[in-house]
Amino acid sequence: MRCGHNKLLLRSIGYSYGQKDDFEIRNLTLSIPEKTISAVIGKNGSGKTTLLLLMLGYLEPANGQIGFCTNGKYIPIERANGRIAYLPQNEEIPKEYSVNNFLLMGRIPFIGSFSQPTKKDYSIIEDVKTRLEIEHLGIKKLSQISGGELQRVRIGRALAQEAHLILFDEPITHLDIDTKYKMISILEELKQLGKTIVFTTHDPLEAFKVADNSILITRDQKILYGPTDNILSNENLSWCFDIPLEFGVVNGQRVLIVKNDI
Amino acid sequence: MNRGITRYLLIGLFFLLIISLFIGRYPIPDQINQIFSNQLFANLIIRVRIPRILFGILVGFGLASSGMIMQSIFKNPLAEPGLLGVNQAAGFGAALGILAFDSSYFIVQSLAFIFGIISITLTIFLSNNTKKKERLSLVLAGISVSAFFSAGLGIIKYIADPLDQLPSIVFWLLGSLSNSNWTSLLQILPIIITCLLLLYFYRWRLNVFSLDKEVLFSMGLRNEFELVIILMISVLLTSSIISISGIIGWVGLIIPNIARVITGQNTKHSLPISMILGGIFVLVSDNFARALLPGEIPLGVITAFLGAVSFIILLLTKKEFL
Repeated sequence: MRCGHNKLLLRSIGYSYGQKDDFEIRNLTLSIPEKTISAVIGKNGSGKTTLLLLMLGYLEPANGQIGFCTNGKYIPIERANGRIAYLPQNEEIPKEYSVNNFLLMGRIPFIGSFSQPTKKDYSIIEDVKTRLEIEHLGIKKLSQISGGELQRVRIGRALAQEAHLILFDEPITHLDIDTKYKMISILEELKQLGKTIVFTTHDPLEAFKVADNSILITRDQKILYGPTDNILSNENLSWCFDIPLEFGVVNGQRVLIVKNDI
Repeated sequence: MNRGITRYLLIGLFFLLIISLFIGRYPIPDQINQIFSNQLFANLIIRVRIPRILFGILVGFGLASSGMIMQSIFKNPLAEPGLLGVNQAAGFGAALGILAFDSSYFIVQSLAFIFGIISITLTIFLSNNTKKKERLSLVLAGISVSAFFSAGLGIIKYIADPLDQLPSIVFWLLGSLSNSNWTSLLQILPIIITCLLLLYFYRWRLNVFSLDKEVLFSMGLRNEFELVIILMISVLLTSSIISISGIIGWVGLIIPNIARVITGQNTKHSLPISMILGGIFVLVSDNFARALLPGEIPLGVITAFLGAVSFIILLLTKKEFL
């Protein structure tokens, strides 16, 4: 396989599940360059999570290939053990664990089954906490921290995992307004660190704020991919969400409104 | 902090071990120097009490760590070999061995293990195929599999020779360390020590089962191979113990939960603490079994009594319990 720049490559992917009316991907080809942020946008149930799980290698496509291009070499996804972090939307959090112990679990790929974490693992955890400004949370239990803090701790686990690609299911939507903005800047910071990020959302404005590229899953299960400004046009979004939508500008900020004539 | 607790508990266990040597119905010689010169007493200590005490500690270590493994793997603080049907099934296998193969160690042990594996497989299969919530379905599946093998045990008791086999099966089912001697101890020692060491070194890794399976996949645990191996080890450990000691309940349920109250969730600490506490619990219970009444009380009766009492106390006083 020809490999140019470093990227995540999906080639002619086909995948379907359930009855014939359910979600289906036909002949999808995507190439996501490294060190970029991509947003997956679509209605609930349109298959955003499924797309992430395909990129993780957790779901196997019926046909096509998924893999990484790294330094001119193609590596199929199933050989990328531990280098992709996945942060599910409704992750079952072991609430009685301390933040430190939870972060340490990011080191699972580096610690043998019958071994214990070493000094190096603990010092990596300390670095991660400093970087994400969560040093003060260390000994707290996960049940004692806020939703925004928990998001940062989960990102910390992905950093501890030393993943190149971070697949993030709905990182922003359910946060309070103030933490939303923090999360957006954290995603940008991750990009600066050299991470490739793919996240899902059903709010196009989030994509505009942070995503270089967008993957739009439309109503008729077509998948559009390209620079966010091109993909998230008024027409595409209206077609995707089945309601006439229009971007406007208030105080220099982009807003999304439903057209009045319905 | 946890290291300190481990040290104190180990010291406690050691002193308990020494004290247990002198507990029993045979009177301790009046003068200290007679302890060594009294041939009968020395024989009693070396041939009977030492193997029994060592076995008791291993039983506690084994049952408590199996309980901890199952509770972690199934994310359910009620999971333990008894609840998942392993105890009854291994008991059934061993009783079958006593009945049909005249108590050959190897066969009794193998049958106990085979039926232990069958029962846990059945329980997991049933639990995965119910429409109930996962925690509840595991408990319900375990109860039904357990009941199934109790029925089998009932049949074996009915068939067994009432003069010879039945009393030994019944007494053995109530749990007892009285079958332990150097021969039986040395026979299962390699298996038990190997299993315990593997589980001990697995103590940090056991934490991973608290994460979602997609997250584990992303960390390179791409299938359930490791989970199955660890589960097999703990079933092997439990059934080897049961094949000699009979069914000793409550250790696997109550001890890991007490350990978690002391150390918190991190299995790196709670698993070793659970092992030591299990050893102390079984040893104390067996001392009562040996010395409380003129005749020996079945160990399972004592552990059930002490277990239930501590369970109720914790339930009423500790918010973080279960």
